[in-house]
Amino acid sequence: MAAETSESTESAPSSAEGGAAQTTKKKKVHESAVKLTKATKRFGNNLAVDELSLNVRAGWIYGLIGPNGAGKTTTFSMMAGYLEPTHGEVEVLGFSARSVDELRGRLGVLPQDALLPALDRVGEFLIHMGRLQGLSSAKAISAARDSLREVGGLDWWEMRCGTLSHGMAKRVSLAQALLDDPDVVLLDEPTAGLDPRVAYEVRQLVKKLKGKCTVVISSHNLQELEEVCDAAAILDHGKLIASGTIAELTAASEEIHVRVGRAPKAQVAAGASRTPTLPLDAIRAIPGVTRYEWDEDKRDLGVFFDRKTTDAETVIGQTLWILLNAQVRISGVTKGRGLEQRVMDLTDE
Amino acid sequence: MSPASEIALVAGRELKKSIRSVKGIILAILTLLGSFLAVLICIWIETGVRKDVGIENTAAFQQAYEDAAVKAGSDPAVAHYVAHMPISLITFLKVLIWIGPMLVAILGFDAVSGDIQHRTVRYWTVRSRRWSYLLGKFFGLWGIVSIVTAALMVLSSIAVLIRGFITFGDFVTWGIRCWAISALIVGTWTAVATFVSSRFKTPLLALLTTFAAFFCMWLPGFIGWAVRWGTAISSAKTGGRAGETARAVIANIHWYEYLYPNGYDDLLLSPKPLHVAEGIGACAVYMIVFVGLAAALFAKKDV
Repeated sequence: MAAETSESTESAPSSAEGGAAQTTKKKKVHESAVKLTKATKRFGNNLAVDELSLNVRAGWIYGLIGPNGAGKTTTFSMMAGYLEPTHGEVEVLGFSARSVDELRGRLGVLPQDALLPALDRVGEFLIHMGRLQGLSSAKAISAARDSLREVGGLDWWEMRCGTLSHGMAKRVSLAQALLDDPDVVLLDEPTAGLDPRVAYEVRQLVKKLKGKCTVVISSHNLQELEEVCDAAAILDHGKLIASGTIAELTAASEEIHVRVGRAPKAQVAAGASRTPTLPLDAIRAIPGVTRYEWDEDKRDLGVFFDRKTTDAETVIGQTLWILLNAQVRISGVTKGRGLEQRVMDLTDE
Repeated sequence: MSPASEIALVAGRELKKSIRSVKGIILAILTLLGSFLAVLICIWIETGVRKDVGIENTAAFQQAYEDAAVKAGSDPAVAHYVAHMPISLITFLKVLIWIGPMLVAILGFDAVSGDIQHRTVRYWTVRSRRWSYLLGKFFGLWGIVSIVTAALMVLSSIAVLIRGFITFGDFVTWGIRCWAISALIVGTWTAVATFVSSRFKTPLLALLTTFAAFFCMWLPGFIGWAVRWGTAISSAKTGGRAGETARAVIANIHWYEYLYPNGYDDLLLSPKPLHVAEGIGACAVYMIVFVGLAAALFAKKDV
């Protein structure tokens, strides 16, 4: 067990409906919240995950990225203890992912495709989950209400799980994952199938978890991951293709991209070129810039720089100044390539 | 959290779930039908037997029964014990252990397989030891079937109590004992059903396999019973004494008949403590083997 541990005692407020009760939770704080060491999973002859090693630091929001069949859900399921690795180790907070007693109440999981028990009322389901986490009856009720309130579903307390819409069920499922503030939360496709407004609310909720606990999110939605994650791992064919902070993965500290707009219709009608001539030499001369790439089809100008001598903000400012002085219309600017592009580059075959 | 608390929580939820689902309605209907059936069988047997021997009075009937058993070669103490068993309640016991497996199959086929099918089990496996979850399911199922059989016993007993076949004292002593025996036997069927349910993720397959497994358990019991009676009938035809023939039927139980749990009722009803212990032991072995195996396999299972 490589995870370094240190003991600390912290107070976690737990507000009951009528008043606020203070509860003291004793938690072990780990540098590494989730750790996979050469984790391999086979289903018969199919190798779903191949010697995957990952280290998710405590407090991070961490993304699992990859195309269909990349091994995201299998990796996620091993982290949650649903699947036993064929080889290798999976640890959560320094314990085997299947050590239920040690992880009770410290690991919250939102499974992607697990149906809620149809006949249970939302409230009693959450209370039952809380009781299984070792909470007393009164605390379980309080935690269930807090959690449901957090996902905006307190009105559903008396509803049967089987009558909930997809979005409501997803949020109830999220509420059980967040019950009693676990140390590690695993979320599998938390916004899949949700309408944009609810998806936005869920993203805001995940962002609010930052600093409170470690979150691992498996998702196809790369923009969402780029928005909320500190770091991510990109998987393909069961292997780790790349991992690191989002800035590292998107090369945000090494390149910027400017999307150039077309010339106005009136100017084109008067005989001007649809794409204005770019002052590329001037851009190349910006201090710290090492090279540029101009893709006329995509109208994308990539400017690469040495992060030791300059930074992205300085390069953006100078590049835009030069382009605007040359009457170039700007459609958009991004730091780095964007996670989506990065994943496309890495997983493209 | 202790495993016992986990088991109690899971079992408690299972009980509640069974009572208020569609199964609850089925349960109520089966209980009423079962009681009605048990009472009909009981009245038919009790009045028939009394008519055959020409004795209507219960005490006189029991004395005649005891005399006949002693004459047939039974130990006088055992003959006295058997003669004072209320036929109605023993009939109910037989009905209960016949209905029991059906109830277990209907109520238990999706206990675990239903949760595996829709992956609902994933909400539990991060909070409860897998073997605790499985034991909770087992005890929940056993509990609900035992509640149904208890209700059936009470309803039927009230009918025969009014009819005068049993006294209130019989109901309190023999009634509770018969129900406890049925519950113990139902436990063995429940263990098998839980094992089967935990091995499938399609409830319908689990249901069919449960019925197939129950049939396989019934078959050795039926074969053994048929062989014993076949031998006894041919012995009677060749001039064997009635007492010896009856004893041969009771005593010559084949080892494989122990695979059929409903056959344990004779052991559990015996006045001899050793026989009762044997019956309890057989039920316990059945339950430990199947639930233990189910728990061990489920602990390794990918969900």
